[in-house]
Amino acid sequence: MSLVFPYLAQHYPRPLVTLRGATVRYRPIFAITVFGPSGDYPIDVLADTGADDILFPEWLAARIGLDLTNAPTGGGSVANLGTIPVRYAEVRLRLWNPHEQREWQAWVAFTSAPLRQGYFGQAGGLEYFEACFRHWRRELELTVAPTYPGT
Amino acid sequence: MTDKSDFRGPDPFVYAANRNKFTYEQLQPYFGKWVAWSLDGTRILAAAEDGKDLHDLLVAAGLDPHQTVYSYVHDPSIDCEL
Repeated sequence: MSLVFPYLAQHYPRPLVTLRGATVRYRPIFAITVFGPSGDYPIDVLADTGADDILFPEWLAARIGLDLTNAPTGGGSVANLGTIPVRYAEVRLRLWNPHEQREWQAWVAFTSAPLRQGYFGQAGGLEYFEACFRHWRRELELTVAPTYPGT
Repeated sequence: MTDKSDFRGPDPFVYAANRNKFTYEQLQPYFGKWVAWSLDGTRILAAAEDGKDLHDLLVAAGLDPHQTVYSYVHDPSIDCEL
């Protein structure tokens, strides 16, 4: 069993040189549900093998009832934002489709920087799955790996 | 909190298929904003410059913020994301 996520499209008003004149880009973006003490929210994340951690905007932490006041802190780097402050918290994450559901605990990063999307990176995320990026079919397949700690 | 037994997230295939039908022109008002999509990807239910405002906008509209997907609408004036 596995979780398959079709890529999401972004349309452009002009032909893109690197795509040989196409006007649509497809990205491995999918919804993940983040659980906290007071609630849960689905949010789109980009599956990014170049991202070390899972990263969300800090306003999401407030919405799910996480108090980051005394959370471990660190620094991160996002291409369009440079160096950004991050705070870490342990949350429950859920991936879902009508045929399979996966849920696990993970330490994730939150930042107050103006993120343009969430990131599903290595630690706590991709490390638990065998990820097959089928760009030709515009879909990402995630299969749980032996390291997967959840249900 | 949503219980496991009653959880209904977005069906990835339905969500993506419907979202991918949105044209450049339809999304233009939302470029550079955080939006809340309906779980089936057919509608944008709220939009805000800052994602933290989405919850209040949804509640004010009588909608359940948990039955949406928060997402950012990229500005296509940027050719590529690196």
